[in-house]
Amino acid sequence: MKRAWILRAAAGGATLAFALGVLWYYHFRPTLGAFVLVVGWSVLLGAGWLLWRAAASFDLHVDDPVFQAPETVRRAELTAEKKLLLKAIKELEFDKNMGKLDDREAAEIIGRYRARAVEILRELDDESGGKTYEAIVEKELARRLGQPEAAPAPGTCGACGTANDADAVFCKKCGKKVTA
Amino acid sequence: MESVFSAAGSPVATLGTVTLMVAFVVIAYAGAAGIIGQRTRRPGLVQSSLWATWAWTALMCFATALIIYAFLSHDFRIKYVAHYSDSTMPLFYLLTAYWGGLDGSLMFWVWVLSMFTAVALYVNRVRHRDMIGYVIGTIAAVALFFLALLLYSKNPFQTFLTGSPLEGRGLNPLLQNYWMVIHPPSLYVGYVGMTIPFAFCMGALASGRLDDGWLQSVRVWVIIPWFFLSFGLILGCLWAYEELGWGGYWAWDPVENAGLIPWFTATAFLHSVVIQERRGMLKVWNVVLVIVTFFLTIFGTFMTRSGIVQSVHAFGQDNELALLFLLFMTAVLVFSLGLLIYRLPALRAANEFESFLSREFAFLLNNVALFVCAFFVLFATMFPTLSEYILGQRITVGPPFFNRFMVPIGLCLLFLTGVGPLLAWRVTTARKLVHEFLFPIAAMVLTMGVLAVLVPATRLKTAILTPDLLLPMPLVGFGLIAFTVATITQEFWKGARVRRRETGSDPFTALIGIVVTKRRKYGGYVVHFGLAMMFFGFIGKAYQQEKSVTMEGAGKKFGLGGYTFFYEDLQVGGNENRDTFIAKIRVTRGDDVVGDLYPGRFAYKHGNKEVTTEVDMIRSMGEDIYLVINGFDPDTKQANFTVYLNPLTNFIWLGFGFFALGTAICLLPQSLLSVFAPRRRPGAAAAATLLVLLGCGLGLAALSRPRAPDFGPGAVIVVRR
Repeated sequence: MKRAWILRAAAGGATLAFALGVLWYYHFRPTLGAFVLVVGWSVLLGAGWLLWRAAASFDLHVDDPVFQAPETVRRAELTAEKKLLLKAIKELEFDKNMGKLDDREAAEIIGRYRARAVEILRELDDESGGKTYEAIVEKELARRLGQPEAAPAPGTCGACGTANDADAVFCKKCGKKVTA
Repeated sequence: MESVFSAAGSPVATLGTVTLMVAFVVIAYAGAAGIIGQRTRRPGLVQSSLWATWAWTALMCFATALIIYAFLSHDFRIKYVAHYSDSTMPLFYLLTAYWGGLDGSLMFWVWVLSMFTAVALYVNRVRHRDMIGYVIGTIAAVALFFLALLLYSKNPFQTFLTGSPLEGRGLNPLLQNYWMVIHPPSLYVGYVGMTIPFAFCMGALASGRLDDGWLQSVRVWVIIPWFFLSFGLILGCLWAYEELGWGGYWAWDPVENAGLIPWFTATAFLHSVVIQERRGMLKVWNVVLVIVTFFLTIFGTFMTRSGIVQSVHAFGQDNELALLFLLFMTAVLVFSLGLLIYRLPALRAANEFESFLSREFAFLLNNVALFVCAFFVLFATMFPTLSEYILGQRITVGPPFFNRFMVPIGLCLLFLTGVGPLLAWRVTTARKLVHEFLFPIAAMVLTMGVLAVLVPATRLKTAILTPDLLLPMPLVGFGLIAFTVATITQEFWKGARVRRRETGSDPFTALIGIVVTKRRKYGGYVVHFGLAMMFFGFIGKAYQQEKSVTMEGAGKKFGLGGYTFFYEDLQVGGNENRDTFIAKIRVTRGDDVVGDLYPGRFAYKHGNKEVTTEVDMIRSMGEDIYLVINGFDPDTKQANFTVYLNPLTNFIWLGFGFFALGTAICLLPQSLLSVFAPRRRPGAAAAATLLVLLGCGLGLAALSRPRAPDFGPGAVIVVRR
């Protein structure tokens, strides 16, 4: 933190010194040329700082298990499709209210979209078996703290491991009684 | 202005060249680190490439500051500065001479690309961390090509090997016009901005992340350059209209066409992307459109700069540059289409077309029409060049050829603009079809009937497709405008009614409510309204009246279209930069004085000693009275004039105001709408605000009319009687 402030103060000082130098050259008459030079100098300092950051963040270590993993990709696809379906349902309802669709037609399409949305939600629940960032962070935290893995969240099905609502009595996937 | 650097040679030039070299190395590293980091899953390397890319942006800003400083300090040791400026040029034109020539415009290209890249990467660095390395890699490849061009043969910091001139040649007088100052950068922003969606498209293909995520992020980055392309084109029209003095605004000039061609494909993409979002269809088509649009922007840059086409404002013949561009374009096509073919199996459509009477089918037709437009204009623009290569003789095709084909396709597009919103997604039943189309069709039929009976001039027949096929296209055009406007009105009316039912608000609040909550849809309708208005202006061209007369001396008069033109005087003046010859014409209608016109000719003393035509006009929404002086004798005051009466032209500029407003509505981020919410999309917020300001500014500027003759600074007027 202290180092960052020293760097900022140095950059500010360098800009100020350069600006004073240019102004001195122009006999302290602020001209557009002088302004452009000062801005250019500040930008050059900025470029130096950014290059330093590029060098500082250079790291060849592979440490991101979720980075581009097929599960992450699939999950993102499902989430995107879910959003799309919900948006489409909203749009269809608006079209129906505007009179562009009959109630029967609208109900049929919306019903089909809802069924697909439910399928996606189920698949998303199945996907979250320890492969998400949150699950990995939890696992890593538990390991580093030397503690056993956290107890399953309330509502987790003892039989299939599906995460249900906290107050669920039966599992939404396998239908068995939730014991956790 | 005296230079800070007064050493022999030019330290500014040396520093500029070194900066471009460093920028080349930095962006090469960023691209390589991005691709390797992404490929080998090393986030540290990808992060490093991000910082390096921002450093490249800063370096390009520094290079820009240096070239501007060189212009301001009249550093004529630098060739580019000596060729495109002189010490008498006003400050405004000194600043904008940066992009006045080929070398500077290429550097400006890279600088704009760096700015776009910096913002796009900042906004998407987290959301697309699984492809950002490939995105940087693609942008870096494009930037490296242009930087290599700059360093290899088009360095704007190049100095004279022997003694440098004491005075520069100055900027071409035709370019010393306020519209021309902002027209090229606007087009460049349009061209360059298309690199960002292309880079994200390549990132998605390379990473295999082919869901709609990249598409949603890219939409804004297509709308922004698409708008600037439109803005650049309209500014080009204004420039041609006010500066060239031939009474028109669009003559299918190859360089202007170069901007129009990618505009068609980008517009097609903005429509087809909706189908992918709503129905999961046309995934391959959308990727193709992004690739083709980017390719066409590079092709446009190539056309403008290689000299393969002849134009009023191309940069001249350069075979070496043409070859380099051809190589680059081939590489772009091979790489991008190769990647697309590799990923084809993953781009299968989720649905199929179910009915011809569906919105998606109307959108598809719209895409086909836009694609036909793009390739027709491309073919016709390149035809003289192609004919020269194939037949050994240059066959030119003029505006009538373009108009015969583009007018019917344009009217088809206008019709589809009206039809699309009326159809439902998937399928529209016959009963609903009648219900939706009743009002717009009635409006169209009524308009055409009333105009045909009450305004016989609207039955004017013009040629389409072949010179012999004559149809009353203006009447059809007015009818289709009525159809489109009625559709839009109906959509707003019904939408507001639904909103009222849902929220219980008053009609006005409900109207604002639907626009705000469905910004893309209703913003799009406002754009369509603007387009309909612009079509209204385009049709006016069919009724243009023109007359050329030679006046033996002052005091004579002539008439056209009910106006009388009194030639009162010819004033001769000038300054150290140019001699000015300005005629004074009083325009009357019956006993009423409509106004005074001051058309002129400016003879420049420096550079190529060009003589320019200075148009003057009286603008109104009904028609513009447009006057040009073609030749004169200052002693006898004999002068030749051409007067044009241009009906409805101002609807084009006004329509563009709505076009800009609609685009701004589409870009409005949610955060701007809730005052206290944090800004999540600074790029879109800034762009939206900028667009609103641009629209207002352009509208005001276009309708303002300078009434006093401009003799230039320090002018001495000698009135000879």
